[in-house]
Amino acid sequence: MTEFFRTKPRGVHERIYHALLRLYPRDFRQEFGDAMTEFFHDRLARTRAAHPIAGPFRLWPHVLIDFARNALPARLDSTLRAVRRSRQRVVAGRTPTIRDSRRKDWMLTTILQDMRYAARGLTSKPAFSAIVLATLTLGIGATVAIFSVINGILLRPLPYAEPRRLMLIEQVDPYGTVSEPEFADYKRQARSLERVAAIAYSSANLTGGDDEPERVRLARVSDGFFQILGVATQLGRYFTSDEDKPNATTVIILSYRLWQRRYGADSTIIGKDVVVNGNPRMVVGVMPQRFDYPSSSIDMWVPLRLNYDSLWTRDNHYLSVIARRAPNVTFPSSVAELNAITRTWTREYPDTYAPDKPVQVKAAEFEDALVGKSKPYLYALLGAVAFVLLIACVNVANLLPASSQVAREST
Amino acid sequence: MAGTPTRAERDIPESRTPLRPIDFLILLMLARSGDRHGYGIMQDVAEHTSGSIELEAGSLYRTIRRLQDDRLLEESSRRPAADLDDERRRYYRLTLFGKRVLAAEAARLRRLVRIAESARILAPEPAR
Repeated sequence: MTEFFRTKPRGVHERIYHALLRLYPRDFRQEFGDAMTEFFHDRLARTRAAHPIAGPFRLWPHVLIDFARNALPARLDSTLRAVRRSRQRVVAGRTPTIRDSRRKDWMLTTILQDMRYAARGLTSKPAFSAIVLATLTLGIGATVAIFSVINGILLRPLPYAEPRRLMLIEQVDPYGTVSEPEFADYKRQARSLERVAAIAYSSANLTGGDDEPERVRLARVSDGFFQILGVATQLGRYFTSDEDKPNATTVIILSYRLWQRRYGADSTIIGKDVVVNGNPRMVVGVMPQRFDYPSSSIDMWVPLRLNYDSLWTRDNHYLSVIARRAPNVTFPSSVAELNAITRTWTREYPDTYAPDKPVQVKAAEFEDALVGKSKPYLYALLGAVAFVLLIACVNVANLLPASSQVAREST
Repeated sequence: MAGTPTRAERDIPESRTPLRPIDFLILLMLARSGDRHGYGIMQDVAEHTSGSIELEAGSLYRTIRRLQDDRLLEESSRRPAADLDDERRRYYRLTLFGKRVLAAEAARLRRLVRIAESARILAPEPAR
């Protein structure tokens, strides 16, 4: 505090002003700090004479703008002055040491000097610099590229609510997918699952409006599909349980992509009809851009509308099943329960499930199902590019002594 | 370094023109009133520009420092009577070189005004 004040600041405004002066570089403060405080004192006195109460508050905006406009440039001025002075000292025959410049100047000067030395070093040996730059660019670039892939796939959590409770249910070959009665059994009997939903893929003709008719991919999903994944709609709502019943009104949820592309992101689309396979379906929702389950090629979702009173035959396997486990239920215990259910089928329907083709659950946690097989390869890839970076660094480190050797021999 | 004027070249007043408008004003005010402190310079500038230029401390002292570095003005050791003074104040005055640069700039501006008059942009001022 004693660095530049010959007299104490008077009053709260001057004290604040004095504190703010620290934004200026030290040498500037030492030279002008007192004078500036006096300037402020005079200015404050005159403003107060005109407006006794509001005066200071009218003055401060001007003062702060002045700080904003001048404090940083003053720091730059000081740096340039210091650099100029050190160059004059060199001309005068005395080389300034780093210690010298540390003591005399301050951080920005040092940084600026370092940058100048670096730039001089780089430009004096362009071929060497190019090799080093290229080596490091390749090493760092490859590592960053692979890391961003791994970050997106493995490290960031899946974009669903509580993804650790999500699982995918299939059956061991030759059955593969799940038939309608099997799905109904899972839905009714599995206590370890909070919700189960079935998905079937199909495609349809989308017509209507001024646009060309087009072929679109759609997912037919049973009640609870959206609730299991827990991603909020961009517009509108999910399907209701009633809409999954056989004779319910026909409704549809659009993908973000289709909504953008064909309907021009019409924000009033909810409640309007779109024509699918010649039949009007009312739009009840639009999913957000990041939602692409079960596939990014899906353009729309419609209710599956299974008729539980007259299901298709047990050997007609075509449904994919997803489920959300009840809280605190582990994956293995849930699989054990599902396997217990399939064992009852073998007993009850021997004609469908021959003893040489036992039905067995093939379940996977969502994360494993989506990235499972590629996980070790991805980590191996990351390890490989990390080594590439390491080798690049070693190469550059080897080049540096070689280059300084050349420099020494040339002097 | 090529392009950097030598000391001798820098000492020619014309080599320092044109001055920045604010530099010109400050030097001019000092030429009129002799030794002034920062706040006084600000008041003089405001008065002679009908209040359109009101310098703040930061702008003013950065300019003063620059003009000092360019040897156009210097700190004055002469101080007014103690009862009128505050020890925190700093007083400044033109250097001899500053006066010559100021004159060179004024002459340059006069030449420009003459051109403006001959081009009928400006009515010639009646002789006083």
